[in-house]
Amino acid sequence: MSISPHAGQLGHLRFFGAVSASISHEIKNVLSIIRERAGLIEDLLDLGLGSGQLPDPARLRTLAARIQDQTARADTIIKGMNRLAHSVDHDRATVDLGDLVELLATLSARRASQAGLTLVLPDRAEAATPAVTLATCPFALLHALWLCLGAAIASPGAEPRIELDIGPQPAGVAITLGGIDAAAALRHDDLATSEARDLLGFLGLEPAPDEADPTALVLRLPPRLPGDGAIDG
Amino acid sequence: MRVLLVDDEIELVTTLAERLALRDIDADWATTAPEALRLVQEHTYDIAVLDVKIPNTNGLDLKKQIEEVQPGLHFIFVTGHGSRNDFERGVLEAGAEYYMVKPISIELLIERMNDSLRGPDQRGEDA
Repeated sequence: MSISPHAGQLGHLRFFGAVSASISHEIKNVLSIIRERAGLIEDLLDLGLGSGQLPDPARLRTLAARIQDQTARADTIIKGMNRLAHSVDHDRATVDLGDLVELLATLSARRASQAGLTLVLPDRAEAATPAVTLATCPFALLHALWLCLGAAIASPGAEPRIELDIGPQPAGVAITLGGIDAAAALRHDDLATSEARDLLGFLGLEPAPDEADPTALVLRLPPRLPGDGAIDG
Repeated sequence: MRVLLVDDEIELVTTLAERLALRDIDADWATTAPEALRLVQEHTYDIAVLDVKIPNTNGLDLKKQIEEVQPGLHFIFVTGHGSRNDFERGVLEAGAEYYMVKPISIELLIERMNDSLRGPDQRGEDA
């Protein structure tokens, strides 16, 4: 049975809200580090002025570099948020799956680290393969992948990491979430709701454990959205 | 005063520990709950400053585990931008004045730590 448009909208808003909350938390952490680093520079200068000996310039340079690292970290986070916000600009678009998975990893990094996990992306420079693309609803696909990755994070494997990979398939494309308990991820509550089932159905996304590897969940997608139906919400 | 700082942001806890040391406050730090529990088993602290969000657990549950090792330890919670539920639970555990939102001022943190250690009687509050 299909969910109501209102329920579909709420589901999308919950996803957007969860990402926003995670990002605001991470930005607060970045600001805290910048504040403490700058405060330490101030402390060292005050101490130097009091004793008549200025602080070691190399130490100050290192502290300044760490502040710059944090501004770069914040920039990456905010760019991710901006790309998510603009993913609703077009109901249908051809997307580079590598870019989309990279964005998903950026948005999910804190969620994974809170579970003690690291997200590992394929080295795209080394892969030197043509871009894997598909015609889809970008925001809905990000929402669905967020749910699938959440289920994977809740179902860790032996190692504290999840390996994300992408590749073409005979009838479309696939994203692989490796290094997890794929069967447990598939049973996760977040993928069992009617809302999630409708979302996956709309996208034609079929999650299934890899037949040869029970630690990998394969998310198969058709090259374009099935039918012409519009997603609820 | 000996302080335990727990936050998964290593740059934050190490810098805060150094700044506290410059103010003659002895601070140890941990980025995970197991590290924090190891430290409280090895050392005696006056107060613990806990991030509400810690990998694989949370500051509120970690408080209970630490209290089993060191009953009577004082606590301050810090949060990036917690939910209403986090706030209510944190206030219940530590009191509104000991639930601080990042980024925090080191002067205010020290003031709150001193207040907490003095206890309500010496702060002129109702017991």
